[in-house]
Amino acid sequence: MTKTAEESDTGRPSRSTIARGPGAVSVGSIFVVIGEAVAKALGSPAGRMWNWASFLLVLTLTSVAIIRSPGGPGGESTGVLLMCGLAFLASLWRAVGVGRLDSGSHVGRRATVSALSLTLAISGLAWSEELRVHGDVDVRGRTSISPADSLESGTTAAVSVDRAPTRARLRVTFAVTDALPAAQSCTPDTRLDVGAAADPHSAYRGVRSGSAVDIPLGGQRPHIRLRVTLRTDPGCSMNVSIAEAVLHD
Amino acid sequence: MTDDDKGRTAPMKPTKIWKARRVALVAACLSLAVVAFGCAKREEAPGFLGTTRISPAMHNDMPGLSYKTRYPQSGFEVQLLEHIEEWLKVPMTGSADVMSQDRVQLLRGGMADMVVASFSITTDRMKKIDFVGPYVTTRQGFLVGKKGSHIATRDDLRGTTVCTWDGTTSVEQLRKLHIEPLVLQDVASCVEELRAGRVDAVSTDQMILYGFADRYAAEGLRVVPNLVIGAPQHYGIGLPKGHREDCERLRDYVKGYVGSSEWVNDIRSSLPKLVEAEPEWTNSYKPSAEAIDARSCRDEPSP
Repeated sequence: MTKTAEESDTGRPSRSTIARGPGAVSVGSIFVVIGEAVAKALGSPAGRMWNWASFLLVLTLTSVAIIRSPGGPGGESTGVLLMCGLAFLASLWRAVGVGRLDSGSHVGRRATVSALSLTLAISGLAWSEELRVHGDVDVRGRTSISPADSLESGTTAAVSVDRAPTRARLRVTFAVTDALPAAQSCTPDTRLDVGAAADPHSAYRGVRSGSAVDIPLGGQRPHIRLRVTLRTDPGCSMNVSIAEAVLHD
Repeated sequence: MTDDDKGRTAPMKPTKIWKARRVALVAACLSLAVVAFGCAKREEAPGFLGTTRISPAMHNDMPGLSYKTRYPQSGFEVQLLEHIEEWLKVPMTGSADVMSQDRVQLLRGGMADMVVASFSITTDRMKKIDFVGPYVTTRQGFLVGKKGSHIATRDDLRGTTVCTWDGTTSVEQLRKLHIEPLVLQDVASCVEELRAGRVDAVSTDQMILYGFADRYAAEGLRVVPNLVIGAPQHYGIGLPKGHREDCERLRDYVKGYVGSSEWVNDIRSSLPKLVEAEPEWTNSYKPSAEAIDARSCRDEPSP
């Protein structure tokens, strides 16, 4: 079999053959023509500049997503970080033109990488915003209890969470320890009654040290007030602290 | 029938049968040897806490709990130790005398395997040694004689001289009430001071005080009713750390003992003054199974 002038050495028709050959107005050939045009445009100095513009756009979106990510407990923001990381790497790869991706023959791949990095960046930002509004928020650092030391049975302490973002519930875990560890071992016989300060009937009774209690907050915001009453053996002196406090919907 | 089937159903030659029998015999002998070796090893293993002869340590100056003026010892803790020896079937040496302040060190230094000596379980001690218990729970009270006969409430303690001894939780509890106690070396010294009228009261766990009240009833020594301070004291058996399996075995035994009539009878016979003064004593002195689980064989109390 003899090769035609328009066949390449590999036996496959060349790009020009497809463009000029019979049935040239096929859908495939239209894509190739467009690809050629895009490749030419991107191959020019102006096109390279557009590569970097796309990179800067992704960088901006991912930065905003990470900065605005609330960093909730339990690795909630890991997905955001992962998406932003992938978006950044993909756009960087695209911008600096690593390997054969920069050559004119990979227009489709380049377009896919660009689209993927942009999609990932936008998704990361959207997820970050969703977490800001509805995700779990670790408020351990904004939570205080007073009095906390040397509490005896029947003592009530106030728990405050200041500048709390709006959420429906607070999941809180208390840690109870012996105030006189050299003279007693009262932890196993100690329980807490926990409830909203404004509603004395909403108490969760008999909460153990280390057990989480999930309290509906009603309209409390931005300052949340709870009350904790200690129940232990007479003569026992206990310290109470907040081990974990998470706001969630 | 396939060739394979033929091979499977073909009769074995006598030599092959003999070989198979020999292999089976050797395997059986080896199995027996392994089992026998295992049994022998188990018998050789130390009986409890890594020893075949347990060395316990106790107080010897606490009537009603652990008291020895002449052999044999008597008291509730002595009875408890006898039950443990009977259940364990591991011989014990005669119990060594221990001072309150030396109990932890005795176990950590390997000088005793087990301490049964009105040993309060505390969070700090749990970090250093293992406890099994509580086998009884008591509160800190006051023993008075003629000199302190007016003491009935906490307010009456102001300006009085209260004696207690070193190495116990009682010192901490008195200081918490802003009472600076006279701290002597042992309980007997404090009781001597009380009998001599040089102190107004002796303060420690009521279990201990009832024993002295019984012994010196003729001299008017009595436990002040309804005057208690501090947290409940949970008495546990002290063990060195590093024997959790044995510790848990003993915990299960103690849970059974505390729930039995034997426990009630032992206290009734050893501390009659306690039973007489507090008609509902089992409610306050008997620990629950949960309380035992929460404090036994742990590095810190379970919540």
